[in-house]
Amino acid sequence: MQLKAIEKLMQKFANRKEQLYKQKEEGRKVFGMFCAYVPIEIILAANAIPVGLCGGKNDTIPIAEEDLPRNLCPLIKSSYGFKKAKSCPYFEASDIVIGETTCEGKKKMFELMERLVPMHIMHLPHMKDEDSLKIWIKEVEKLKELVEKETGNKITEEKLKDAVDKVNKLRELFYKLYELRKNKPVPIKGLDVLKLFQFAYLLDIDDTIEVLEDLIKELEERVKKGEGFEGKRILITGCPMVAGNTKIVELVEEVGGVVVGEESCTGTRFFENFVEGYSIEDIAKRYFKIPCACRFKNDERIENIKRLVKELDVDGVVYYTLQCCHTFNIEGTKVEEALKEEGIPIIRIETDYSESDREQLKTRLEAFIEMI
Amino acid sequence: MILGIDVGSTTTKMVLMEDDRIVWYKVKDIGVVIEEDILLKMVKEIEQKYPIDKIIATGYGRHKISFADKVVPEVIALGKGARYFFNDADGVVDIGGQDTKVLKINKDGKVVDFILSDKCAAGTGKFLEKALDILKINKNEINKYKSDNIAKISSMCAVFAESEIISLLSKKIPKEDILMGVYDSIINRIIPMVNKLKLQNIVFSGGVAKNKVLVEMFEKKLNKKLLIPEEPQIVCCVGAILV
Ligand SMILES: Nc1ncnc2c1ncn2[C@@H]1O[C@H](COP(=O)(O)OP(=O)(O)O)[C@@H](O)[C@H]1O
Ligand code: SF4
Ligand code: SF4
Ligand SMILES: [Mg+2]
Repeated sequence: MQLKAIEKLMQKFANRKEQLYKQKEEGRKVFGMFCAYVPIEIILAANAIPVGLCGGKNDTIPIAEEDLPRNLCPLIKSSYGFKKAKSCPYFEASDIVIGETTCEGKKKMFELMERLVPMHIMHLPHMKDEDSLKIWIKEVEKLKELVEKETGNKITEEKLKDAVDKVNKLRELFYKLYELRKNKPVPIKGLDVLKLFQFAYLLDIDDTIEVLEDLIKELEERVKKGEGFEGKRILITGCPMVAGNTKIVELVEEVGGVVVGEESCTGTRFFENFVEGYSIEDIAKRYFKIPCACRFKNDERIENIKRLVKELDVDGVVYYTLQCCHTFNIEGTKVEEALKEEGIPIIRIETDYSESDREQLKTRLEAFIEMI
Repeated sequence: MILGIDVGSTTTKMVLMEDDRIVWYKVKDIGVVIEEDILLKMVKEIEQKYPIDKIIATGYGRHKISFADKVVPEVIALGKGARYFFNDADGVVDIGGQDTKVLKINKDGKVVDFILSDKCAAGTGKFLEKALDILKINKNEINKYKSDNIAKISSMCAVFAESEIISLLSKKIPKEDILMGVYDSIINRIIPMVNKLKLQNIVFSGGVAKNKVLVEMFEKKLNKKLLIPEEPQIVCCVGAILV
């Protein structure tokens, strides 16, 4: 039985393109972005619109491979391909695109993408020390100046406060959703939650908040009635699964698992930690904490995974890497060791956006779920 | 009696069991491309001789058997099967037509960890068959070829390894040396997986385990004996019945 809130989500997504172009006509600027590190509060405070542009589809990879090497992460290729083919309405709507110095592949791809679309690159330091934080705070300040210049709108203290409160509200709702997923049976399927995260990068924030509020009410009802989904409780961790890419969650749920959490940029890395305060520095600090594998010594991520396993009563962890994503792939060794030490079952899955390995992956996941 | 059907990538195995005893079995040289009608016909033939109470399906093509009463994933079946043949086994290496499975199992034959290599044909039966093709060696005479001079095949990718074999041949390297090189490269792919799972008493199953010379080389490298049932190809099928 489909959740009404998810139906609403789909409806809103179906209308989003039209709505976005209307907002543009009204004079609002659109900022494309490729990463969970971009502080959307700044963009919202200038009455502009942030949209996530990461590509999750195979279709645009061949055209990207005219310029990019084949052995590169599919997310990077797909994203570049969308711009080159001009086939993503969100990309085409973007007045400027914010990139960041996260992983090598993305960073170097931006050098090529810059020739196709105006870009602003934020310097995200890979170290996590105080000096690096200082650099990052400066970068967020620079972003503020850029956004003000692009939009012609001044980001006042009051507007920034409103934006911070709004995004924190969104975060709070996602926390509530995770709280509800602790229930057995779990009231919502992983595939629905994944779509929610994917579309949250694209929808108007007010619409996402509306959908989430509805969803939480609906799920509370389900929990009260004891309705939901049984199955081995799976936590997915690793690379983002951006719109267009749902393969692994689909497979897990096809073979008797149910995804109850995702430590990912389409998951906890998107909403965990509130912005505590209303200054640029407070905003910068929240984003600086995101435990992405592109950072050096990212042990907070391991601790997060262990915590989520406990909180969500997880039976097994699926470590998801996109092919050629070195950062998450290498970090997987540490994660695997740490989980095995605690006796938490983990399977590592590496895949791309093609459908050709579906059967093989199914065999693996089926065996894993049967095993745990 | 329970009939197990293991539709593998390359071969189909059938085993009939009664109270944990193997009554009858058969290995057919056609794998996942087998038609369901043919399977059904085979089942009918068996039924004329033996009463079948239940049919269990496993293997790469397990979902094709719509008439099965139960479907069991291969990895799970292999663990059980290994423990049936050797009650002190703690691990399994299965080299089939298109993939290699390395499993760690507990005393009940339950799988506690596993590694599958299914991305590349190198190190699987298919690669071996291809090599035999190029070397013009008949599969049934494979155990006649033996040599202490192991030709070096360095490529980790099946496609490149094939071209390496061709170039070795053109350099007039003896066939048996090249074949040893092929075995060597298959074994070298598996040893790190065995080490990673820290296996001690290893059951070697799947078609490739029928290769005496390869087994000898493998044992030498591991520095221990492998546990190999008389018919290593039916381990998975037997296990499926016992799950
Ligand atoms: N008698 C034999 N001697 C050596 N190798 C064999 C023999 N029979 C089968 N094989 C090898 O075993 C492979 C098939 O193994 P099998 O376990 O039946 O695979 P699957 O379960 O994937 O169908 C073949 O590719 C072949 O290389
Ligand atoms: S995984 Fe890292 S680089 Fe990719 S979107 Fe998330 S934070 Fe950004
Ligand atoms: S998935 Fe990995 S390689 Fe791809 S963009 Fe993200 S961090 Fe970079
Ligand atoms: Mg097999």
